[in-house]
Amino acid sequence: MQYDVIVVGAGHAGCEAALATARMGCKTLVLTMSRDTIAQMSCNPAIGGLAKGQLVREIDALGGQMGRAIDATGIQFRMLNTSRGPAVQSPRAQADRKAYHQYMKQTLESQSNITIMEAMAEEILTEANKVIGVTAKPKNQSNPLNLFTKAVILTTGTFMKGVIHIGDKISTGGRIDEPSAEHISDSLRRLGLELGRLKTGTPPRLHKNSLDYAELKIQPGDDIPKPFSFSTERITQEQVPCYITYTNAETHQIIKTNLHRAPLYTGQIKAVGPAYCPSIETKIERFADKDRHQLFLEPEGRDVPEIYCNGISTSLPADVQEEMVHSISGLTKARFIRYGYAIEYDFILPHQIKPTLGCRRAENLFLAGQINGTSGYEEAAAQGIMAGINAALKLQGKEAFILRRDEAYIGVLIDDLVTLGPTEPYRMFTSRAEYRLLLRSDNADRRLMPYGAKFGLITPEQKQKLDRKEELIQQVKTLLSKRIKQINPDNPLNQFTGKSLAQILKTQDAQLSKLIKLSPELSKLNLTAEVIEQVEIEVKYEGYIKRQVEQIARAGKMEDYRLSDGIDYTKIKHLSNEAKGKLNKFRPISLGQAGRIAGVTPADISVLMVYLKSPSTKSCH
Amino acid sequence: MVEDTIIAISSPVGNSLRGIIRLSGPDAFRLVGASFNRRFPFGSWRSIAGVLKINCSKVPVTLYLMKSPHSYTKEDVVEIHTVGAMPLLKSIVEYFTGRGIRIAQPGEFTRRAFLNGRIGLAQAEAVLNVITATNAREHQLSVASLAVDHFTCDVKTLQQELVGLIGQMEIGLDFSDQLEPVRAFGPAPAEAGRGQKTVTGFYPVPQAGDIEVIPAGQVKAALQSIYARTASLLKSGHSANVHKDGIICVICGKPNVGKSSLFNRLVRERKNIVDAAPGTTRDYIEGVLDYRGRRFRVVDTAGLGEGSNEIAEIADRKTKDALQEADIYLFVVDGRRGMSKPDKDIYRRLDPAKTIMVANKIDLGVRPLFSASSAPPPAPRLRRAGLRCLTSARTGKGIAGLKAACHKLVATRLPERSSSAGLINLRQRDSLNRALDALRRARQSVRTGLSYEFGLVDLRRALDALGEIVGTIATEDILNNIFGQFCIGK
Repeated sequence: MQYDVIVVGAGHAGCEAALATARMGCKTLVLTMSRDTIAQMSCNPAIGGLAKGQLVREIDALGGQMGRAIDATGIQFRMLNTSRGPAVQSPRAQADRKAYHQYMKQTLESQSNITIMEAMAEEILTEANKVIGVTAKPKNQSNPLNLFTKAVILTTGTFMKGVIHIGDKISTGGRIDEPSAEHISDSLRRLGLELGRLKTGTPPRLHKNSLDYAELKIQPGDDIPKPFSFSTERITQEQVPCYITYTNAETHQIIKTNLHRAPLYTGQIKAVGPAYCPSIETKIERFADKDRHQLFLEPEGRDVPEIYCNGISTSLPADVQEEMVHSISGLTKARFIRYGYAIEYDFILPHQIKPTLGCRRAENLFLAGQINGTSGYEEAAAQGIMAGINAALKLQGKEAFILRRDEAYIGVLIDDLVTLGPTEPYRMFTSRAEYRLLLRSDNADRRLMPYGAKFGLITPEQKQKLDRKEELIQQVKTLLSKRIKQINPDNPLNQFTGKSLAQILKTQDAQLSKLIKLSPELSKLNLTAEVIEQVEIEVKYEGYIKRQVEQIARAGKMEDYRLSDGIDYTKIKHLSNEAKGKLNKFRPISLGQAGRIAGVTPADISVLMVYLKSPSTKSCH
Repeated sequence: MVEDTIIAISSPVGNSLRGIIRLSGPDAFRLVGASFNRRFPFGSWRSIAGVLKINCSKVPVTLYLMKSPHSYTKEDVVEIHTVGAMPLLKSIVEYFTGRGIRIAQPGEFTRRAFLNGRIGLAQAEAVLNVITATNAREHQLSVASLAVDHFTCDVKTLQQELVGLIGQMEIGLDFSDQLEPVRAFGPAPAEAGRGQKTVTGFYPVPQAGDIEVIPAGQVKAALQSIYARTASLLKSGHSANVHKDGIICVICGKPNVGKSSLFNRLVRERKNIVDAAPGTTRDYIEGVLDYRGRRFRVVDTAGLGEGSNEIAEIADRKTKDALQEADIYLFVVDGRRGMSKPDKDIYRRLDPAKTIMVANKIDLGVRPLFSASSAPPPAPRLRRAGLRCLTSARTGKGIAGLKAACHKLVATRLPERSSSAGLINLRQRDSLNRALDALRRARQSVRTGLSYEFGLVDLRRALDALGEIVGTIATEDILNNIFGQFCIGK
C-alpha cells in the first residue's frame, strides 16, 4: 500500500495536517496509538485565549477544523479583553473534552482520503535523504510493518521518550496512563537531527461533586457567545460556569516545607519548562511576597466529573498535592481524580526546519506541533495545517506556502521558531506580533481566506461570501468619505454639513451603527454586523493602521533581500564568529529573518548587505 | 574578500610637533620593513627607532608595529612617527603609494576596525568624530566619549526603563485573562471612567490576584520622565555641536561704537571673514576665532535700530536672527560716552547672563561726559556702569582681556554637556529624534485614553530607535523581563 502522506500522531497538529493533505487530494494515513485519544486535550480543556484565539481564527480562515470543532463542542465562551482595542480581543472557550475528541474523530473518519491506523511509528524510512516510508508497530501486534509514502508529517507531541514525574515517582509515558514513543527519536537522530528536551506540567483534576461551591466565585460565560469559526452562524448550546478560588498562606507553607520533595527542585527534572506557565511550587518559590495565587476551576465537560485546577500545575508528590489542595478555600474536601504531573519529552531543535516546516535533513519530512518546541493546542494546530498544506504543495510540485509576519500570527509563530530556536516551550503572545494592530481575530478571514480558497480548503461559497463582504466594506468606506450634503432638516447630520461621515466616526464616541440609521444611502445596504465592525475599526484606527502598513513596507525591503540556502557563512570574512555560527545554523531565507536571529548584529547585517552586493559573492557558495 | 593595504597621515592637519602615518593591511610590515634600516623585532606590539630611507633622504622615525589581530583594525598595522612637517609626511605617503599601497578613504581605518569587530557601532562613530574633529576642544569631548561613553550608558538606561514600562503595559494585554475573570455590576472603575461620564454596567473587576496592571496615570508619569530625558540627551548633543561648529559670539551695539573694528581685531589673524549673504551690504558678517581650544564664531551685526528703508529692515531682521542664536553677546558701547539711553535700549534686549559689556575706543579719551579733558575715561566709572572690558580696537589694547572674558563665560556660564558628554553624530541624533517622536505619539495615545496596544506601537518604535544606538532589544527580552518580575501563569 502506497500513501501520499503519513501523519504520525493525531493530536491537534496531526488532525489539522491530515485534514489539509486529504482535502488537498493526498491519500493520507494517520498513525495513532489509539483512536480514543484523537484530538485529546492533555492539559487545559480550553481552546483560544489571548493571541491563541487569533491563531484559531487564522486556522479557520485557511480551512482548518479547530474553530468549527470548538464552536460545536464548547461549554463556555468568553471574548477576552473586551475593554481594550479590537486587536487584542481574543475568543476563548472551555471545551467538553470528550465531545471535542469525538467531533474530531468523526471528522477524520468521515473525511475521504484519510485512513486511520492504530499503530506506533518506530522508524522513518529514507532513501538518499528522501522519505520513503514509516516502520510502525500496529496495536496489539508484535511485528512492525513497513508503510510506504511520499511524505511524512511528524506530530508526536510530548510522546517522544516522554517521562512523567509525580514526586519521586518516575514513569515513562507520553501522557498519563499512555505509553511513550521510545524509538522514533533515535530514528531522527540517525537522520542527523539534533534533539533537545523540554518539560511541561499539568495540574490535578478534582471531582466536581466534592467542591464546596458556596466558597467559590462564579465565572460565567458571555451572554452572547461569539463563534470562533467564520462559518458558524451562532452558538446555541447552554453555557457552563467556571469557578475561582485562591491559595493562601497555609497552602504556601505546605509547599515550602515540601520543596525538598519537588522534582523541579531536587534535580530530578532537568529540562526547561515554560516561564509563562510556572508550576505552583515555582510561583511560591520565586514570588515569595505574593500572599495568594488565583485558581480557575474549569469543568472538563458537561457530563464528566473532572474539574481542571488551572493555576496549580505541579509535580509535587501525591500526598503533598492532597494536603495543598485541601488547604484551599472551597477545596477542603476535594476528591482527586488525577494528580498533577510534569512531563519531559524530546523535541527537535527547530533551526533544523525550514519556514515550510519541512526538515532540512530529509526531503519530504515535515514536523509540526510540540515536536518543534511549542506548547498549546492552537500553536500545534497552526503548524499542523501549514505542514499539511506544504506537504501537499510539495508533492504537487507547487511553490511552498510561507506566511509573513505581517500577514498572520501563524507567520510570526513559524518565523520565530526558525529564528529563535526556543530553549523553553514557545507560546504565542500578541506582543510577539509587531503588526498586531493588523493581525486581528476579526479580520482573519480577510487576511487568509483567499489562501485557503486557493488551496481548495475553503469552499467556493465561503469565498464568495468573503468577496461580497469585501465589496460591501469598500462600498461603505466610499460612502463614508463623501461630504455630507444638506438633507432633510430633521436629520441631526445636517449640523455636520461639509464634513464626511468618516470624520464624524473618528470622534471618540461615534458609532457606525448609529450613523447608518441617519444615512439613507448606508441604511439601504442592509449591512451585517461583521461589515460594520470592519469598517468601524478601519476608519476609527485609520492613522495607526496606516502607520503599521508603512512600517511593513519599510521592513519589507529587508525581507526582499533573499539569502540562498547554500551560502557558507563561515567564508564571509567580516561576520562575527557568533553570526557565522548562527547563520550557518539557522539558514535564514532573507536578510530580515537573519536580523531576527539573536547574535546577528546590525553590523553583521550591513556586512551581509555588502556581501550580497559584492561581486565576489559566488565564491562563498 | 582579501583587504588591500591602506595608508594615511593620521596626525592632525596643520603643523604639529609629531607627525604620524599609519598603514594597515597585509603588506604593511613587508613594505615598511624594506625601507627600514633595522630588523623588526618579534612580538605583537613593539616600537623601534631607526631610519627610514625614502628615495634619497634618510628620515629618523619611530615605528610602532602592531600585528594582527592586536591592532586597531585587527589587521597588521604600522605607525610611522616622525617630525610633523607636512611636506615630509606627504613625501613618505607618496613613496609608499608608489609601491602598491592605497591612500585610505576617509574613516577607512575605523570602518575596518568596525567591520573586523574591533569596535562597536557607537564607538566607531565616536572614533569617526575624533577623525573629523575640527578643533582641540572637540577632540577633548570625543576622547571623553570613547573612554566612558556616557552617552551609550544614558541611552541604555532609557532603553531598560522603556523595556520595563512596555512589559508592564503588555501584561494587561497578554495576560489579562488572569486579571479580569469576574465582571461585577457597578460604576465603571476609576481608570476606565477618566475623562468620560461614569456609566454603570458590567465591568471587569481587576483582581488583587496574580497580576497587577499599570494604571494610565503611572504610564503617563513614566513616559514623561523618559521623554524628558531623551529630549535632554538630544539637547546635550546640541550643545556639543555648538562646540563643533563654534560658539556663536555676536557683537552688537548702536552704530559707530567700533563694532566692525572690534570684529576685525578679534578675527584678524584668521583672515577668513565670511562674506555676507548676498542682497544687502548691511547684513552681518562672520569670522572665526580659535582661543584656548575653543572655536568662536564671531558675528558682526549691522547696527541695531538704524535706518528705516526696506534694506535696513531686512538687515535688522537678520540681526535679530543672529541675536537669537547667540551663545555670547559682546555688547559694545562708546567708551567715551558710557551707557547712553539708546545703549540701554539695546542692552535690555540681551540676556545679561550671556552678555559681556565692552567699552571700546578707550584710547580716544573721553570728552564731554566724564571730564572736560581729553584724558582716557576713568575705568572705575565705566566698570560701575557694568562695562568690565575696556578695549581699543584700534590699538589692540584690552583685546586679550576680552578673549579671556569670552573663554571664561563659556567655561562658567554656558550650559556644559552634563554627564552625557559624548558627541552625538547625525545618525544618533536621527535615532534619538525618532525615539522622541515615537514617545510623543505614545504619550498622546495614552492621554486620549486609547487601549495600551496603540501606545505600544509607538513605544516599540521608540525602543527600536534607541536600539539603533546601543543594540536591539528583542521581544523575547521584553517577555523574559515580564516573567522575571511578575508572577504569570495559570
